[in-house]
Parts: sequence; structure tokens; C-alpha cells
Amino acid sequence: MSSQATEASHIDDAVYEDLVQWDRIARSQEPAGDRALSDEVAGLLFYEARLLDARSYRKWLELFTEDLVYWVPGSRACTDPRSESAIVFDDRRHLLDRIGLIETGFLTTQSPSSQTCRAISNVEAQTLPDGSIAVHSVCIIWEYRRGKTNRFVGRQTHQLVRDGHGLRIRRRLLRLIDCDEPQGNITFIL
Amino acid sequence: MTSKTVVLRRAAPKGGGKYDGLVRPDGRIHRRLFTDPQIFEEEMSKIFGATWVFLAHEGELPKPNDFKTTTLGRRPVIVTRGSNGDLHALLNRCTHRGSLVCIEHQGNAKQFQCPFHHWTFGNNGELLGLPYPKGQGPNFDRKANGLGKLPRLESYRGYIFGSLNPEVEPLVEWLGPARAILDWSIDKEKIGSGGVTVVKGTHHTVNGNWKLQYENVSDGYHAAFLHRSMVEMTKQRHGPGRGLEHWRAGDRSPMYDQYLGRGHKFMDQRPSNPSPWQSARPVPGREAFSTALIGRLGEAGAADQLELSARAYINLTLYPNLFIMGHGQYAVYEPVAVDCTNIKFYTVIPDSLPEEVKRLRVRFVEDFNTMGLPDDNEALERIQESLTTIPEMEWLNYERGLATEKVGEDGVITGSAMEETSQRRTYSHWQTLMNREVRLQVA
Repeated sequence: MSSQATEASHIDDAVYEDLVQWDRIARSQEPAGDRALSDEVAGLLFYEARLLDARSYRKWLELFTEDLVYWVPGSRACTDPRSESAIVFDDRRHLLDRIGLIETGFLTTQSPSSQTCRAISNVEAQTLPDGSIAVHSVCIIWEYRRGKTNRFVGRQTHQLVRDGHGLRIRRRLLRLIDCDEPQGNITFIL
Repeated sequence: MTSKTVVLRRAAPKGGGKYDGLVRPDGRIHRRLFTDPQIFEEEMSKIFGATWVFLAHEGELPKPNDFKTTTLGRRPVIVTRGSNGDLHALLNRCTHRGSLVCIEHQGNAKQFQCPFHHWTFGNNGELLGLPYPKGQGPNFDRKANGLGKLPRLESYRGYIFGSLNPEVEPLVEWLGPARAILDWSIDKEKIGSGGVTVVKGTHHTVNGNWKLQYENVSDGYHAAFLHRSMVEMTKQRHGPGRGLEHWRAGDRSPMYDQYLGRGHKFMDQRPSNPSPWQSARPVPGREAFSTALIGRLGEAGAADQLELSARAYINLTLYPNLFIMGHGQYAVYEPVAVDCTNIKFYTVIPDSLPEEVKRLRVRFVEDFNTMGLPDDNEALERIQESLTTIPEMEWLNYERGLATEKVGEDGVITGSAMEETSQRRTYSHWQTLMNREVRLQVA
């Protein structure tokens, strides 16, 4: 309870407007081929993937800024998170709830937990006018749990910012190719 | 009121029916209801065909020529609003050689053209044209070759239902006592002169029979246990009195559950949640949008509006496929196979709702559905798995509340939210419907 004040949601219309812009960047068809920058930031994305595969969620969260948004839209057509519900739409507080749920040890959908292995590829980065970095990549996740193997495939666009700790993730927008379809158990973090 | 009594009387097993042995008066339900593909096929006609089935909400097709594709059981259906505003429910199958004529989820179209030979149909189903029509012969009847239509289609305050049974009772009769609860929920939103739009909620697919989904939202017994992770996490992180904590009162809870007849059920959580807004878990944007609304309308003015942002704590289920949570939230159960069901949540957004409340409403849908609903789906998949694989254990136990079950004067059965009475009664209704011979007809 003591952490409630510091965890207050930062989501307001300004953040939503910013996410509409971010969706536009994610859909950009312009070249984004800063190779040196792409190589530099790919390391962070690979590290993020490794932490998620290890379900090391607290450590993963350290990669993000305080004002993070983790958004997995529920349709191809959605260009604004205000317009419909998403597969996931989390600020830091909601993400900590999601992680907290797993950490109780009573979450039936993650006992046993999902074993994942993800490939991040086609990394293309570019510096934006505000100094932040947009990184486009392909995310392919194979997930195994209780006798079944599932796949989740999508394109993602990270916004990275440099602060005192180096590169941090501020936005992660992941659009699954089949996001319009009904989804199964997504109680691990994609 | 007599119609309710009739339904309950019909629900008592009479003997001699094909399905009498599968639903027992002692509250035992046979596993085959959930595992037998033949039974599933028959349900697609006798239940998802012969009764009223929810198809769409008018807010999904607000403008002339809007359409949405959906299903009636497994049958692909296009619900359209014609250019004059009339609603139509068309079977999505070319009358020539049978191809689906529309594969979009939704859109706006005056015509549907079959991709195979370009037969073209109006959005009222009428056959408008075909290439080289002479080849069909001199007796070709264009009128008789329109798209198949459901013979019955009715909307109740925006909720559109259809049936392939020309003799199905009028929709308001079928709603029965459920009507007043639905009215309460809609009236509470004070929908103004503007229209409503319906936006996508979360959509899920579960490897379990559709009836497991339908019964589950009236099962108060599981809430504190199956959702223990959510209850404990919420208490630890956000303090007491939020989320599902009210279920911990168990037998002492003032919440109640009702069987309304015709398979409809009502689980009322309002007695334990006088303020849905106060007891809701915090969602993204809670602070900014509530502060903005209070700034605009004042504390008192904003309070009523904020209550509308979270679900209304009414679990109203209309047999066989609609689950209404109130405050615009509803879900549709879509049977895919005997062991697979899609659950599609939608949110009705009245134009007159404050923008701040609209913002919060879409986030509240995600909150439970991505953190609590997966527990339910996991449990139902485990049920499906064992029922399918252990034929030697035939019976499921739905006896909670049987000893104290009492039919009220209005035909409604009211019991504790911890009982299984409404679920059990739904299976008696299932038996009645399945024992009945029906004649379905395409208009």
C-alpha cells in the first residue's frame, strides 16, 4: 500500500496522443536504416528477450522508464488505445499487478509456467527529432505449456530514451499478426 | 407471469424423451453433454437455431449499409442495416454454389458479391444480378434465389436476436424476468439523444464446451478460490475491499443468484458492491480521468458517472449465448466445436457518456479479462480434458442448493450465490429443448 502514491498511473490524454503518434511510427514505411544504431540497440532487445524467456520480470522491468507503456493492440485497425480494449495495455502499475499475480504462486494459468523462446530479428533503428530512438523489429515467440506448443508472431516498435542509466525502454508496441482473432492463455509476458 | 411458470413446469423431466437420462433430478449431469460431438451437432439446431440467439448489438451497425458477420450456432451470418435502416440477418452462403459471400468482420456495403461467379446480392438479401443469366434457363426465379434469411429477427433496446424457428415466441416473452434487469442496466446509463457505438473488448478462445462458459458466470462458489492469485495480489498491492475480495464472505455474503426460466440466470453482486468505482481495481488512467471529471462536474456530479466506468456487478446470462455485465459490457459465447468455444467481449459506449468514463471503460474490460478470466478458462479446459478422457466416471455434481431450492410465486428461483441452482436448472431447460422436435426454416 505504501507504494501506491509513487505508482499512480501517468496515463492521460497527452500520453494517449503520444501513443497515436507511436502507432503511426510503428506503421511507417520510410527507411529506418541507421545500421550502427541498429546494432547498438539490438543488444538491448536481445537482452530483453532473454530476461522474458527466463521470466525474470523484475529485472526486465528495470529496463523501462517510469512512464512506460506496454501495448499489445487487439486489432490491426486500432490506431488509438482509447478506441477499444487491447490484448494488453499496461502502465507500470498494471504491469506490476500482472507480475504480482504470477508471484503469488497461486496463478493456475502459470503453474506450470510457460516456457518460451523468442527470436528478435529485422532490427531497424532510427533517431527521432526529439532525440529518442524508434526500433522496429520482428518478434517470434514459441511457448510451451502443459503438452501444447503455441506461437505468437508480430512486429514490435520500441521507443528507447537515453538517461543516466544508459538506454531505457519507454514504449513497447507489439502487434500480433493474428491480433484480430480470439486469443488463448496469455498470462506470461509476451 | 404465467409464461415463467410454464417454462419451469416444462423443465421437469417427463420421461420418454431422448435426453432424459443425462440430466438427473438429484443434480447429476452426464459428461456426454460436454464431450459428445453428436449432441453438439444437435444443439446447433435445437438450441442455437430453434430459440432466440444473440447476434449483434445495433451499436455495431449504427449507419445505413453497415454490416457485421457473426454466427448462429456455427452458421455464418451477416447482420446488415439496409439503406432504409431496417435490420436483416442473412445466411452467408451464395445460393448458387455455396461460397461465403462476405469474409470481412464488419464494414459498410450495399452489396455482397460472391467471388466464384459474381452473383451479387443486396444487403437485404435480394439477388441483384448474375453474369449471363439466360444460362439458368427460362424458369429461373430471381426472387427465390436471394440469400437465405433468418425468419425471425428482433432487437430489444439495441440487442439483436435471431432465430431459425418461425414459431419462436416474441422476444420480450422470451426475456421474461430478465427484461427488468436489462432495463435497469441500460436505464442507469441515461443514454441521451445520441446513439451508441460498440467497441471491441477482449476476445478469447478456450478448449472447452460452450455450456461450461455459460454456467461459469453464475458459479459464485469458485471465485475466492480459483481467483486466489488476483484476490491476494490486489489486497497486497492496493489494500482491502477491491477486486474480487467480496467473494471471501462465502456463505455469509448478501449476494444472491437467480434462475429466471428459459435458461436465463442472474447473479447479483450489487449487494456486496454498493460502489463499483470504489471497489474496482485501479486501471491505467484512473487518476487523470477521475480528476478531470471531478474538475468538470464537481465531486457529486462526477460520482454517478464514475460508477458507470466499471462493470455493474450484475451477471445476467441469456440462454444460450449472451452474458451481460452491465454498464455496457457484454460477452458472446460462440460454439466452435464440442470442445472449443470463443468468448467475445464488447463494450457499448453511449455518445452521451463523458469522455473520461469512455477512456476508463475500455481499460476496465482488460483488467479482469487478462488477469482473472484466464483462471476460469484454464479450469474449464481441465474439466474438458478429464471429461473427454475418463468415460468410466460419468457424472458431474451440481447438487449445491438442491435441498433448499424453492420456486417463487413469479416462477423465479432465488438462492445463495454459493449455490449451483441456476446452473442445475439451466440443464433441465437444456433437456427440455433437446427433447423437443423442431422445424427450422430459412426465409
